[in-house]
This record gives sequence, C-alpha cells and structure tokens, in this order.
Amino acid sequence: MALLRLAFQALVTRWKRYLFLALGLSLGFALMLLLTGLAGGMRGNVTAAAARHYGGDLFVLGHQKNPYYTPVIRDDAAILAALRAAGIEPSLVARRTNFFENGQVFFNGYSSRQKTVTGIDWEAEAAVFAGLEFASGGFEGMRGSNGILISNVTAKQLGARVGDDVVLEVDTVTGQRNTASMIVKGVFKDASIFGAYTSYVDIKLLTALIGLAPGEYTTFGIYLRDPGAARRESSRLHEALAGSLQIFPPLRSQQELWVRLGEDWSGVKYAVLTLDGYLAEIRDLTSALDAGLVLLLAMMLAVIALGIGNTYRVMVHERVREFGTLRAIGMQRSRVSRLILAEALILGVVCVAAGSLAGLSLLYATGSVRFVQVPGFDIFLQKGRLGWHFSLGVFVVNAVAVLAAVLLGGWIPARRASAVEPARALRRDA
Amino acid sequence: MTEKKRMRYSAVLAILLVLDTQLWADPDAKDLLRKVDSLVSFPDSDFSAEYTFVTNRPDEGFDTTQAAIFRRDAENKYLILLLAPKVDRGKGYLKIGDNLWFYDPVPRKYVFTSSRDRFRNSNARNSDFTRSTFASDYSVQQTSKERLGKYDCTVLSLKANSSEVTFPFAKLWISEDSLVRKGEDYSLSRQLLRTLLIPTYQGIGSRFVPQTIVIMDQLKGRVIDGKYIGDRTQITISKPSLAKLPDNLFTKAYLEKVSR
Repeated sequence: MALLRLAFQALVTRWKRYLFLALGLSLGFALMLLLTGLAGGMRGNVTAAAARHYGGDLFVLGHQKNPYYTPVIRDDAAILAALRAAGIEPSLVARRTNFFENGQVFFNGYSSRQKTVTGIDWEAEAAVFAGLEFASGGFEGMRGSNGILISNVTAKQLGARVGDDVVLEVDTVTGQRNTASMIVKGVFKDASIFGAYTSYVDIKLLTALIGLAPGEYTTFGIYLRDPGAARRESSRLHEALAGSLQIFPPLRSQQELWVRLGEDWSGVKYAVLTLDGYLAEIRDLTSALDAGLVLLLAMMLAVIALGIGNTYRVMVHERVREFGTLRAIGMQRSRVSRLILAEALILGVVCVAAGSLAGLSLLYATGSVRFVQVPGFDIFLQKGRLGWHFSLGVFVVNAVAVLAAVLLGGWIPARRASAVEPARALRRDA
Repeated sequence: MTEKKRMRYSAVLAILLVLDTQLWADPDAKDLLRKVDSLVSFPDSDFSAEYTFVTNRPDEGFDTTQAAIFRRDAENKYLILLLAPKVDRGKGYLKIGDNLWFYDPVPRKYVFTSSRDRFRNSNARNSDFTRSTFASDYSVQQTSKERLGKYDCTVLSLKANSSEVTFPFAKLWISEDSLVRKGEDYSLSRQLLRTLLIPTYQGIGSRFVPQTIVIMDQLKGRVIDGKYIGDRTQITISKPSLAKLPDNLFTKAYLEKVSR
C-alpha cells in the first residue's frame, strides 16, 4: 500500500512529464474501444440483416421428394410439439414461403432478377420489419394484398416507385412459369447482398403463385431470445424432432443440405439449420473483418508497450539520483522495480478510465453518422447507420490487454532502475 | 321451372363446365399437332445446323451470337457449340436426356443448368432446341380459323398436360401445310410471356426447318413514345443437314476437346 502511495505521489508531482504519455494512452484505449464496439455493431447488423432475410435464427425446412424435391411444410404441429419438448421458447415464430431462384420483377419493359422473393406473414413479423428502413412507402397494408416491397436497388433498375404496377414472374414448384400483377407498396433501403435483390410479398400470394396448397409454406423460422445459443438449441430441436418426423442428420450448412437432398429418400423429410448455416457466403467477409481487427489491436498494443518503455527509459535516466537515494536509505532492488511498475499501472488505470469515457463518446458519435453513400457498405448498416455494441467482456479484455502492455513496456526500465548502484548514482549527480 | 329441376340443370351445367374443354375442340386438332411435331422433328436421323441469334434491345442495340447445333432427337440429346462472339467461343451446352450442362472452357467446368433458362440472355430458351413435343405436352382446348398475313391458319389454344411443362398455356397459328407460323407462350396466370413468328421454312428431306424465327419478349422491352416495344431475338438457321453425326459427339469429352 505504501508503495502504491509512493508511486501515486511520484505521478502527481511529475504530472506534466506524464501528460502526453497519458493522452496517448487514453486515446489508444479509446480507439480500441471504438474499433471493438463498431466491429461488434457491424457483426450484429450483419446477423440482424441475415436473420430478417432468412426469417429467424434457427430453421426447420421441409422437402418432398417428387422425383426431384419440392420445399414444403404441410403441418407444423409436430415442429411446435418438438419445440415445447426441447424447452425452446422462441421470441417469434416466422412461417415463410421462400423462392430462391429465377424470380423476376418487370416494369415498363425493364426487368430485375431477384435473388429471393419471400412470402411473409405480416402480422407475425411486424416487429422484424419495423427494423427495415424505407425510402418511400412501408409494409402497412401488405397483409392479404398484392403488394410488393422492393429494394432501392431494384426500384432504380426498374424505374419504379410506390404505387406502380409491376409484374412478378416466378417458377412453380414443378417448373412452370407463373406471373402476378403486383403494386409496389414500399421501397426499402438496402444495397447489401441480402437486400438488394430481395422482394417481399404476402405469404398466401406467393404460396399460391409457386403452386403450393393453401396453408403450406417452405420455412419454419425461429427467432431465439438468445441468438448466440442457436447451435445448442439446434441440437436439442433436432433430437426432439427425430422422434416424430423423418429428418436429415444434423447439418452445419446449406451446402450440406443440398448434398443430402440429392441422396435417395422418399416422402417429406425435414432439416434443422442455424442462421450460421446460411451464411457461408459472408463468413469470409466477417472472418476478414475479425482478422483485420485483431491485427490492428495487436499493433496498437505494441505501440503502447513501446511508448511506455521509451518514456520510462528516459524517466529512469532522469531520476537515477532519486533511485540511488531510495536504494541508499535501504529500499530493496525488487521494491524499486515494483515502484516503477506501480507508477505505470496507476497511469494505465487512469488512462483506461479516461479512454473509456472518450471511447464511448466516440462510439455514440460514430454510431449516429449515416453512411448511405458508401457503396457495398450496406451489409454493415442498420437503417443507414453503423451502430455499435458494448460488451463488458470485450471491455475487460481490452483493459487487461492495455494494462499488460503498460506493464510489459515498463518492465525493462523498472529492471534498470532497480540495478542502480546508490554510491555511483549519488556520485554522478554530485 | 321447379326448384328441383333448376338444381338438376345447374348440376349438369356445372359438370359440363368442369369437364375439359377438349370435348368441344376439333377432334382433328390432336392429329394436326402430331403432324406439326413430325414435320420439324428428326427421329430417324441426326440434325445439325448453324444458328445466328441477333437480339435487339430497344435503347441498347444488338447482340449477336452464333452457334453450331447438333441434335439426335431419337435419344433426346443435343450439343450446342458457341462460335461467336469471340469471348464466348468454345463455350457449349450438352443435353443428354433430362440433364443439361453448360461448359466454360476457361475454368474447364460444367455447370448444371435448366432447359427453362434463357439461351445466352436472348429471348430463346434452352428448351427451344429440342424436338417438337406439342402433341404430348399439350391438349387442345379450342380451335378457330384466322388469316395471318398470306396464310390461312388454324389457331389452336393449348393447355399443358403436365405441371412440368414450362409454359402452361400456349397458342399456335398453323398454316395449311401444317407448319407453325406463330406461337404465343403464356404463364399459369395466362400472362402472355413471348410471341414467336416463323415466316419461312426450308425443306430438308421430308422435313422442315425454320429459316428464321423471331421471338418477341412481352415483359422485357422499352416503352418508346408511349408504345411498348419488346426485346426481340431473330434466329437465322443456315446449313441444315441430316447427315449422321458421330456417337462421341454427344459427350463431355468431345465438348472439352473442341473447346480447346
């Protein structure tokens, strides 16, 4: 305790000497907080956009062999029972009809090929679509109508606006061409790989258009209260479903499902897939983001350690007489060393506190800036903003890493200070 | 009329309405469809020709694609080798039974594709190069007579027999020589999707091959001066031949070899 008091006094009496180092250290920690917070927000936005695109965090998919395979769920009583048996309490169940290929929207001779046309139960998923940012119109009045929501990218391609009549062309489950006359009810802002070529229509309309019977649909989506538990819940649901339905073995990705669908089987067979299983196409992107972030943080920590090391090296040189005196009045070498490290640690803690305030302010400021004009960036945005995520765990890891870098940087100067010979130090200064 | 009688009449009327309209169609119509198919199919020999596709998109100009097409209708096979433009040279399609592959010589990869897809972004479909199967794919719902330019035509309104036929409804204008002069393809909701015109044929043996086919897209195009002008593809067929083709022509190995 006495050592800490001594270290604190040393810092206070020389505060001007430490000012720039403290500013640098605080800024470094603030930047770390900003980067990890924004990365967390970006990752969260990607996952939220993906969950809205696919309709859940966890999915049950049904397929009928005939002789190819038709995506269909006819009766979900067994799925609901399995959910109860597995003890899963979803925050929302989303029944959707998804059409993943060959969908096209036409207007005035212009066409836009759609990656996905999705039939939505608008009443059930109102909360999900409240998160979608509209350039014009909205999803009100979509239920039971021939309305269609298109992205701003599709709208631009077609030259269409809210209120325009467009033609939606899809294939039926048996491969026939079918069309419907639709009215654009909303144009949403999304140029990401999920939203740019996605259209949303009423589930009953799309179900009929692709030739499924009334009440049938293709995807039973489950929004979990804790999306992070999707993998664990997936195993439990799979186990519960296996008792009542014909089900594929546990699958990790959509690609695995495609392989399984090509195998020899009959009747209707079900698959359980997590949202992560759909995201192979963006996993490389998020992995690159994480790798870049780790590299950047490592570089910042190295700069912090070097900065502390250099400052204390000069400081020890300047304070050699002080350390000589301390040694002369009986302070042990290890205690001199600990004094330097304690000074560095107190400085580190103060800077982490100051950096936290600065970092959170920066996060708040950056999170409220709109990034609508940055091409290809939409996948990371929520309503045009980056958003951020504060995780206590990540904060603690950052703080510990910074303090460790500070101690590492101060370690060599501390050793040098402890090696000072009292007689030589006092003689030199005299 | 008593209530009982009225109900009986209503029931009979309802039954008549739900019965296939083919009952009222010309009984010779099916024979006509069979004849149409037989005149442009080659079940007893192979067929090869050069096809030139010129696609005109209003506002965008012309795209030209040239291809050599080799058919063996008896075995439901075809091979299409792209000759032009230069950037597509060596690419090809191979159809064996119900399987259709697209081959790209640059990555040397085959991609499984669908007969329903557009051929090279033109208004033709990959299924347009197979033998004619109107008689087996469709039932005649209605027949009528109509003059189409210089031709007196029988107009057949068709409904697909199976839910797997790409266009669920179609309409054909057949001239007195049993050749299709005009066709219309409709979606399940009876939206007109494309119109085909075949003004001239060329004789080859006892069969016929169109000299030119014009396909007009009814959904893709441009509205110019208030008038809709659909994307249009003109297909010109030259050098038709019924000479026997080598068996190894309809193989992946052959396509890879000629693509080099």
